[in-house]
Amino acid sequence: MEESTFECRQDPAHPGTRVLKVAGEVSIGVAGEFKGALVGALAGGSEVQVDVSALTAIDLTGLQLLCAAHHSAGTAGKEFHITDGGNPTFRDMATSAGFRRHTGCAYDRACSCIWVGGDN
Amino acid sequence: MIDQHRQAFKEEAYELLAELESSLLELEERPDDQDLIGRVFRAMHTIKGSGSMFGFDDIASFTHEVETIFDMVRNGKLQVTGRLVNLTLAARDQIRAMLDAADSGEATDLQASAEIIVGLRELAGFQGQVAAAAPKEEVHEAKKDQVTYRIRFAPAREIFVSGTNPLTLIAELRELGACTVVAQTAGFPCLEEMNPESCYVYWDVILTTDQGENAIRDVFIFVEDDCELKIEPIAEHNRYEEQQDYKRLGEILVERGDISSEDMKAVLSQQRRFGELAISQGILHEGKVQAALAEQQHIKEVRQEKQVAEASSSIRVPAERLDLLVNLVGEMVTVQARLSQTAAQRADGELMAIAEEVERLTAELRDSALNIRMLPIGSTFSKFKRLVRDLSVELGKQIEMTTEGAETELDKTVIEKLNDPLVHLIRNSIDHGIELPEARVAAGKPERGTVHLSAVHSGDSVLITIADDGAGLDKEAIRTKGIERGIIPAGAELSEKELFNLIFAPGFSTAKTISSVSGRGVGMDVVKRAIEALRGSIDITSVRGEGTRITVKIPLTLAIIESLLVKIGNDSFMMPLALVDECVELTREDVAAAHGRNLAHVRDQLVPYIPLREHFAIPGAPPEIEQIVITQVNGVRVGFVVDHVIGEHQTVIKSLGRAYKDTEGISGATILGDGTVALILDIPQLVQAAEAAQE
Repeated sequence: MEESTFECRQDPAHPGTRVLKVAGEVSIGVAGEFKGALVGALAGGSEVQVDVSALTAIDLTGLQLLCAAHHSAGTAGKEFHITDGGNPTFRDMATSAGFRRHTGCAYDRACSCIWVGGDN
Repeated sequence: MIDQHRQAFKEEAYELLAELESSLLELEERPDDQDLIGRVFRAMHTIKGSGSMFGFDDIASFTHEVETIFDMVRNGKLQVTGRLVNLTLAARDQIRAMLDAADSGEATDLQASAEIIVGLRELAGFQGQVAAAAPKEEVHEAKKDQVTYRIRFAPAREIFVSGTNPLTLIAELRELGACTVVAQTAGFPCLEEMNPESCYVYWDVILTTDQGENAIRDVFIFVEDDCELKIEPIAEHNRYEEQQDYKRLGEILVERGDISSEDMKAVLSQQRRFGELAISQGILHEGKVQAALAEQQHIKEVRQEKQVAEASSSIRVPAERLDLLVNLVGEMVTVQARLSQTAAQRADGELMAIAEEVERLTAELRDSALNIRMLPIGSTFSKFKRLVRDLSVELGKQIEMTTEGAETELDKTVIEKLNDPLVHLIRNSIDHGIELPEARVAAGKPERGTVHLSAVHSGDSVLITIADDGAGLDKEAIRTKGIERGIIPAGAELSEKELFNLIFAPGFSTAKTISSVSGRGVGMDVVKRAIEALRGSIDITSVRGEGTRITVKIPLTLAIIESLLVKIGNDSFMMPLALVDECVELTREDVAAAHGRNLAHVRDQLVPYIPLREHFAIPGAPPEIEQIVITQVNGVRVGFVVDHVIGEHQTVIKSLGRAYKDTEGISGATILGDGTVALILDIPQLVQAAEAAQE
């Protein structure tokens, strides 16, 4: 099994924006760690960008966490984005799990749903 | 009854084969196009399925082999290669041959079938013998009813603990058939409250499958106790109800129990889109509406696919019925003309009002009846694509065919009759026009030649152009040949146009070698004759070294022509207006001045004329002043002498029937408003006959 890494840093160009780079395989084994990383990133700034371009696999727990993080960010008035850099693995996983959609969910007031459309 | 179905199958199969051919040719250009691969697969699948249903077992089992290969292509297990396209084209021809043979009762070439199958199997990496027949159950499977199910799958929170991955179950569902999956995320807690190892999501799945409900239940067999599972059939795809719209969004939601019907009525009492409304009022989660919308979309797509397969947007009608309809409309037009005439004569206001109404309706009826017979010329064009491909391979030339105006519509009969002449013209372009690749490069042209085929409307005609960027016509070679063949006298001064027209002379060919494609010296005169039979004309322009352009002008329909009504004695005749140049008078003095030669002076030019009264041996004396209707055929002006010119007339052409089939100089007849018959003159033929008589 490939190692997974969660690396959180400050976006130098945009103060207040935290970039969480997720790489490797995100599965139930690291779900707790992933949750911790997301909570940490959200606590550290007003905007969080999760970069999944180097992700090689993600299971249902990972997708759930991303969705919940978006939900939390929305409630707290923060912004939450995903950049996948066209990562086909991530897109395929999200599509086959039925997460991809045309409009955001009930919590999505700002049309920021992470599953709508393509990149960003 | 059975015969009728077999016939319907054959017609459908021929159509599918034509589509298959064009898809394959496109596929050769764009081998990665999944859409095209799907089209090829579906065409094969349909031929196989309905073939076995109507007892064409040999076709079904043969097609099955090809279908299997394309299933592999579709699943990405096999690449589209030139060899695959070649073999599949050969297979397509073989299926066609089998269809043709089914009627005549002849045996088809089993050897050829076996060779194609072996070739295909080699491609697919199969070893071993060719099986005699396809597995039967596979053939029948296609006929099973497709049912769409609505599935709600809500796994228990702790499903992950048991090591189950719900996504693999979803993936298994996808394998059962067309599947739309919507994950419901509305019940998610905030991130902080979420147990990362619990499952919060549930799914609404719409699945269309022919496997039955038990197959779906089997997918969930190991998690049955660990989840909430609802499976209900929502649509069977072989019912008549399909013709209606699928359920409305509200109905779907009520059926699913996502919303009560009271709530829905309350929402509906306001006039906005239901989905938006329900969400804005907080009755529903967006996700649920999303799922319901997905269901609508899914059913729509499944139906559309079915519709494409069945082409249910149109109905199939035998061509004879259309001909009958057009014939009846033709008689109707005639009767209507009589009605109008009678009404006018009686000066009866009420009758005239009715006659006018009938006139308007008849005109509309006539137009739409003729419209039904109109077909886009595209189907003919795509046949030529194959021709060009095969010929260029045979001749070692590189040729690309481009088309334009494939949507241009022409009368069905015209399109059918145009096929052979156009094939001949294209063959000529490829054989004589386009040079070999080396010669092209030497001449500074791209290696690959082009044949451009276009169709465009021009007034009441269609112009079909075949243009190539080949060597162009060699004027000197044509002149030499013309003299050699005794078609023109040595030293004759000919315009470019007249020179080019020589190639339409019987027995003319400039090709030095005879190939299988053309060059036998028969053809161009036949082409010209065929085009003229369609009341069309043909025109050539060519620049040496740059290419040749042949334009064929064809009337839109054969059923109606604008014509000039003339009278000789008590007989009426029609002359196609398109050929008429002008009318001049012919007095007794003029005749006397010509000393028995049939020549008239028109603005200092001599125009030969044909006295029709003599030609048709009509008794009685001509009037003092006769009329010459001057026509132009192939650039030559010839007059026809008649007693009186009545005027323009829209003529519904009636054929003369078999007994008069060989009558020369007459191309048909029509019935006039007063009920009398007028014959339609075949002007080009009359001119030819007169020329022949002169010599």
